[in-house]
Amino acid sequence: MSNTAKIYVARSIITLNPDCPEVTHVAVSEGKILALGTLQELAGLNLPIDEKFSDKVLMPGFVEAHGHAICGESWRYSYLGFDQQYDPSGNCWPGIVNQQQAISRLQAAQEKLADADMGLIAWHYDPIFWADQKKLLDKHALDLVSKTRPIMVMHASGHIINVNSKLLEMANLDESLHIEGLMRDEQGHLSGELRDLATQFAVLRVLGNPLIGEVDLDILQQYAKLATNVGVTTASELYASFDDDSLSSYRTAAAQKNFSLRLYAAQNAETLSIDQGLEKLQQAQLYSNEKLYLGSCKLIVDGSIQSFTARLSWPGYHNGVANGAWKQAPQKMRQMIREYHRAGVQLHIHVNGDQAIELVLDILEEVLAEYPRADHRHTLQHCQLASEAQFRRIAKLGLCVNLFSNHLYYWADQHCALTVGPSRVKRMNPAASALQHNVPLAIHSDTPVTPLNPLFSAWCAVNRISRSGKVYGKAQRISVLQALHALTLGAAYTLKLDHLVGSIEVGKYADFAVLEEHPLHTDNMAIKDIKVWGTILSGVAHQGVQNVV
Amino acid sequence: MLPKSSLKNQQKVPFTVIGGFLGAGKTSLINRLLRHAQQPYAVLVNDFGALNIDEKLIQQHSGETIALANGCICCSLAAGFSKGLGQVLDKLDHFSHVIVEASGIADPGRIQDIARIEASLEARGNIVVLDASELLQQAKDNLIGSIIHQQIDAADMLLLNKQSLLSNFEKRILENYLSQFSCAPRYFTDWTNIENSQVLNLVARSRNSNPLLTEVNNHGLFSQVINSDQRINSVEFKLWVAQLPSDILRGKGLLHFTDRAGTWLWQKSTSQSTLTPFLQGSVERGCELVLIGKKNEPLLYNFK
Repeated sequence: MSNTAKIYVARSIITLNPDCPEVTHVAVSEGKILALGTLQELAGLNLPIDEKFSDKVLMPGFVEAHGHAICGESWRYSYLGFDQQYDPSGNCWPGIVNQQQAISRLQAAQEKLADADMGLIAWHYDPIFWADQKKLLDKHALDLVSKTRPIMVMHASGHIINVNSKLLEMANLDESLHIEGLMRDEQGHLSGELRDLATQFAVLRVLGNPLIGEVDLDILQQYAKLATNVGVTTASELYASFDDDSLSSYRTAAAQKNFSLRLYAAQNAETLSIDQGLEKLQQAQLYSNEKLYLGSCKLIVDGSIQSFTARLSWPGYHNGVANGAWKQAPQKMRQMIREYHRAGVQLHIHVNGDQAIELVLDILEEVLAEYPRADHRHTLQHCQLASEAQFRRIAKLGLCVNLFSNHLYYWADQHCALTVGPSRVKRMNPAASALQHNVPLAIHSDTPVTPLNPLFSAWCAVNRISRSGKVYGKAQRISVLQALHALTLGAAYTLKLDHLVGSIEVGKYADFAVLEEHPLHTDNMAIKDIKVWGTILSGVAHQGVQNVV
Repeated sequence: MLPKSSLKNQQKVPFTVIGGFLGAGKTSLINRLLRHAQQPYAVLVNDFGALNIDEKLIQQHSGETIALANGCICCSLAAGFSKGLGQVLDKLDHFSHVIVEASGIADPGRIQDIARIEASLEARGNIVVLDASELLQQAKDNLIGSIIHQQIDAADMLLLNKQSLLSNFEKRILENYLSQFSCAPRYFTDWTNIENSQVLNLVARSRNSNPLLTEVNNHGLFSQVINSDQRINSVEFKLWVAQLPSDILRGKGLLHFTDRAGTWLWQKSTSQSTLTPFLQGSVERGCELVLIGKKNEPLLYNFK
């Protein structure tokens, strides 16, 4: 037995193991769970007892089954989000709620840039929540920060970019151009807001293509830090490219001893032909190891509800705007689902609107009738608007869902007023329906769209309370234990890793989240405030740095 | 590799976008262009595998073919597209023409905008290939109808492919149908048999600077643009507005009236209609309106 073998004692250990749901002692050896129970039960093992966590609560390490490593890149740049967030080093960045605060933060960031013409980049700008809608980050506001260096501000949605005069000039964007998405102010002058492909392509190229979703070693290391700080021990990149550079980054990161995360990456199928995609997947699968899981495939069917690009069935968007966009022609989607399924690949399928869900259910029904496959575990990602009838089909087809419960806090007020209206908002991200229909349930953050923080996601699914304090859809609330399950074992199931992580059972990896309070003995409204000490990965403790208030 | 400075004196490189729904014949057209190429083209395709470009063809051809995302390159700045196009722009002096194959659901107009921004490129227009035998069905389809309309709207040239599957009568119906929304030249072809020079020497229509057209590009609803060289009486206009059917969700437009000075911005939502002075001026003298409705069929409301 290796010399890392020991017994951790804790105030309590939540196991999600039906044989012994809660224990006080767990023995770990060779990075795995050796035994769990009382001190007496484990005494015969003759292992040293580590009392470091004797006043803390352990539970299975959280599994983020739909995230993006780009959240590790974004902290290289200035954070302009409306809500406070913690960076990988544990610094708290207060939310930015008006133009003056944004300008101050950009000015402070600029002083740290060595080079006088180096680009200043900021992210997660979220002006829809600002009280003063007349003072936004237009070209003039950004020019107050600098007229000589290029400045680019990415919106929280990721779909809009604001720039200053210098960057407009460097990207050849001037008043004589009349093109889509080059926005103008009331006087007809360029506002600095860029809403479409051509203009964004031009400015991103000037700045060396930041924030387009590529990974490198540093980005993955920052992702791991963010994960450790919130108790996550397995996290995913659900839009991965398996090009040589990216694969090398994944492999190098996972091979580092102090890399405190198991990484799971699903290949974005959009950028490849089906043949190329399958070839890349086969190649990538060879590189999988105990800290790296490659080989599944991501497909995107529609857009997002908050940006009105999800495909909705009748009656469409509540405010009457046009229906959303297919990301692929439906015929093409049918072909991709069929071919990847036939090849035995597991699919993670992004569907937000109910029309997109219907399309995928139709396709899968046909494909599964033709090519039945046991335990395919194809997972509907986001799946925010599935109806009861659709859940009945989801159950029949053996699909999993990974719901986006954080929406209920961040955007439910907008969903009620604008996107889906007061009736349908009550069943957005219907976790209770999933459980009633026995559909395997996971819950995710889609970081960086919303922050990586499973206890906060649990709070959202349990309370369904919006930013304004309203409860949307009481009937779809689930219990704390059900939420914790969806964020650990449930999430692991959708990644086909439930035999390795997600619960505390003999033989599984010794991965834990280390909490300061007991989530099952905490008021439902206070779950999000439980402090996280850090994690244990393969039996080794990693202290987080997010204890700052 | 030519030195970068030689770019200065070079002419702009023409940029052509080929759009159209899946199966319309974009592949055949690109293969044909490559087969008859006399100069090096940079061809950015969406999906190498599906394209089935004859490899011999590429070897004989001195240009370069770069495979891109097969997704909606008009909706996504995913690494594949940004980088692929970036590579072409970095060595533009190698090519006499850049050709982009848009994905089956892309709006070619939005891709053409790249050439309007990039100083070294010249916008040479959008060819939209349509499957003549399927078009009327596709245009009515609940899932893809709006995409087809959007592509037709963006076209500087329409290629009605697979014409031999149609009777003369069916062709006339198609002509009549398309003339309602597009003034782009139309050619009936079979398997896109058309000369390179005809396709690659278009003049790209300038993008309309008016704010009204931006809403047309929404996927999902159905829009109709109404153009008129004539001014209209403002009272008659208001009567016309009052008669619009209730399924028209949005209306927007710039107008010149016979009985009122200046340019006017008209905006209509489901419940109300407003006219306000439009101060940015407009060189056009007549009227241009967009109507957006939920009906999955052309809006046949004659304006004046």
